[in-house]
Amino acid sequence: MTVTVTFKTSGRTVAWTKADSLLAFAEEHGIDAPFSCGAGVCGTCATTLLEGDVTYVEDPLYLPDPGVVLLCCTTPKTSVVLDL
Amino acid sequence: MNVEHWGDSAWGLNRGDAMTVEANYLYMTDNLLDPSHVAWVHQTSFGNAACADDVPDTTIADNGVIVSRWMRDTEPAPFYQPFLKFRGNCDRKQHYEVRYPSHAIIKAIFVPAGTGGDDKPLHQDVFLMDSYNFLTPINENLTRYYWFQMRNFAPNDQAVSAAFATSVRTAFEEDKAIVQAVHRGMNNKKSNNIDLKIDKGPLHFRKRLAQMIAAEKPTLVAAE
Ligand code: FES
Ligand SMILES: [Fe+2]
Repeated sequence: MTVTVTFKTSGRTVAWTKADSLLAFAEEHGIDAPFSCGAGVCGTCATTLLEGDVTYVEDPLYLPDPGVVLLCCTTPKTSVVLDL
Repeated sequence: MNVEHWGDSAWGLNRGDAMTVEANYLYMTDNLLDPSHVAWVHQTSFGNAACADDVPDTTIADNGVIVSRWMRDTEPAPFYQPFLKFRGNCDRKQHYEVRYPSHAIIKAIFVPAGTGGDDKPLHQDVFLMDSYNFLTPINENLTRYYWFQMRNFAPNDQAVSAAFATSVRTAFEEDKAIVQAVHRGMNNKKSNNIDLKIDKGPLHFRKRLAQMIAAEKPTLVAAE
């Protein structure tokens, strides 16, 4: 089953291909995602996860509120819909 | 704590020294978890331009945080050059480790260029120096700082020990100046703080330490 990433605001759905993080993946596809540290310490990349589930590939300093994910520290576990 | 090579007849000891730093001890732990500071704080001694480049790995361990990296094929920093057994460029490892509550183990490894790596045995001409650094808070704004170093050469050479004692002291005075300025600056902040990727190690250390301190508090109250 292919995992897809939907960028809701941009109205695009792309098949997930291996990338370091959702942040890197968004960048590869020309989606403007906010970020600063890229390492889970600043919280700038916090984005609402509308559907699906993610895996934390890097330990962030603080976990965001439920329903919010840090794009720079995560990859999709299932197909996801991001408020981006 | 265990000091590796303590009492080993092949290793030398720089007996070390102490100083009082007018800053909170956590600015010192920040400094000791940031290998990149070497490039700009210690330009004439421990540093070289390469120190600013490679992104280090951060390991969050149970007993502390380690920030480390290999720098490949670089010129040895001026301070270390006279003590190296080999000529030419080196592969250099910086291992910056701070353990709870507040002691640091800073390891320097220099091997001939092309021979370094965590997966490789150490070259026979390897230069090793382990610095043990102890930060003891006096209060919110003052820290007493103690240190000594272990080295894998010239075990009984007083001149080498004296040279290191002087150079280390000079370098630590450079850290002191910066850390005190950071302390003053952070206490008079005029703009928002921005956390960068290199702050990952220091921030994880601060977070875990704060949790440990919080976990101790109820016991302290109960004992009163
Ligand atoms: S960009 Fe800083 S936490 Fe993701
Ligand atoms: Fe330093």
